[in-house]
This record gives sequence, C-alpha cells and structure tokens, in this order.
Amino acid sequence: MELTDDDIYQLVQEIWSSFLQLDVQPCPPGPGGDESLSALIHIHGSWEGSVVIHASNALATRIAAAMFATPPDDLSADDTNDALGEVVNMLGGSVKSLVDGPASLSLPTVIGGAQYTLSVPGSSDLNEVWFTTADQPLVVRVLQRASADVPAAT
Amino acid sequence: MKIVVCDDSKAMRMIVMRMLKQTDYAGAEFIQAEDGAQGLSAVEEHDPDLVLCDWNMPNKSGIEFLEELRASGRDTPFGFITSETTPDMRERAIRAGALFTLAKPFTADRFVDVMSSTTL
Repeated sequence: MELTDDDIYQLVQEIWSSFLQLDVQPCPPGPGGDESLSALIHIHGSWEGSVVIHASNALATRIAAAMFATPPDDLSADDTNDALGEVVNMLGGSVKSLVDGPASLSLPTVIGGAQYTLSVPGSSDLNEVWFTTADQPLVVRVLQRASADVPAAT
Repeated sequence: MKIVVCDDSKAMRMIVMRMLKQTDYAGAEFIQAEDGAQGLSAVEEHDPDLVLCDWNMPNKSGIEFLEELRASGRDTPFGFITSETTPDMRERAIRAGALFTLAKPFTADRFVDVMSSTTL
C-alpha cells in the first residue's frame, strides 16, 4: 500500500478539525515525553498492518476534554483512554479505506506509562509522522506486517 | 421521541448526542448502549424511534445488531455512524435495512444534513 506522510496529515487534520477543533501541523521528530499513552489498531485482510498514535498524557487529556466537551479535571483515566482509542479507531478506518481489497479493523488497544517501546512483531514502519498540536507532540506510525499467509496482489 | 445511541466509545456517544442537539431531534430522549447486545436490549425495553449505531464493537457488532433486529420482525429506523466505510460494508448495511451510513470523522454540518434527510 502506498501511503505518504501527507496522506496521513490529511487524515489526521480531518479528525482534528471535525471533532477536536485543534490546530495540528507536521513538525520534525523531537524528544519523547515522560508519561504517555499509545493507542493502536490493526488492519487485517488484503493488507496487514497497524496504526499507532502516541501522545503525552497532557495531550491525551486535552483530546479527551475536546471530545467529551468537559473540563480536563472532570475526566477519568478511562475517559482519556476511551477518547484516544476512538481517535485511532477513526484513523485506522481512514487508512483501511485506502486499502485495495477486503480488510477488517480490530478493536483499539490503549497502553500507557513511562519509557516504554511499542512494537508489533513481524511489522516494520511504513510511516512515522510527527505533529504538533495543543503545544504538544503527536506521533502517528503506520506499521506494515510482512505476512506469509497473505496472498500477493494480482 | 427516543433515540438509542450505540457505540463502545463513550466519547463518540457524547459527540453524537451533542450533535443531535443541533438537529430537529434535540428534544429526544437519548438511551446509550455500549455494544450490539446492549443495543438490542435497549430496543426491546424502550421501543425507540431511531437507532444510531457504530459498526465495530465487542460482544455484538452493529451489523449483527441490525440483522438480529430485522430477524425479530422490528423495523426500527437504523443508521450507522462508523469508521467502517468501504462500499461493500455500505451495501451490506443498506441491504440489511439501514437508512444510512455516516462515515467518521464527520463535521457538525454533515451530521445535521444526514439527520435532516432522515424521515422517520
């Protein structure tokens, strides 16, 4: 699957403008934060891969506050995880719509903590795009799985 | 009027209900469900005028919910609000009896347009 960094920017920008009313702009890669959250979702079918978004806890809370239309202090950790999971669900759905042939979307997973790495065994980075939004970094990764059981496109 | 809003994401249920308040359905009573199984129970309990439902959910998906609803003989108006937007899925949804599919993400204007064109 061909997916450019600009494609990802367009997909992210659509979600940000529709539901978050936050500006989002591409930026160069920078240092990671401390406490953070990652949300990922898998695409299975004629293309196999995963979409991952990575945000600081502060950004994830800001995203949740926008989606719930609620002050950040009123949000629980579950609310924040739910919101970030829904963002990656929409982004995964948008990436899936670019796949040729049938594909299905998993349910999202959200993990968090400090100083962790996230990998999907058998997958390699197709894209890694950094953004700045609400004065915080946001990283979007698209991973492509090299799967022996997926027939080659004809 | 009663509307069942069925999505496993609480954030998305909040967005849908907030946007519904900008439409002709602003005065409706909203009943939330977290998956298709809860959605079916909500329909049996509340006999709503409309169901707005996600596709991809744990326990029972939105399309399973719709297919079981129709198999039970209920013709409750049903619309999908989902990130699952391939032509095949849209066709399956309409064939199963959905009024419309609305792709996430969507703007408030797009939501209002779709709801305004939905005749109950």
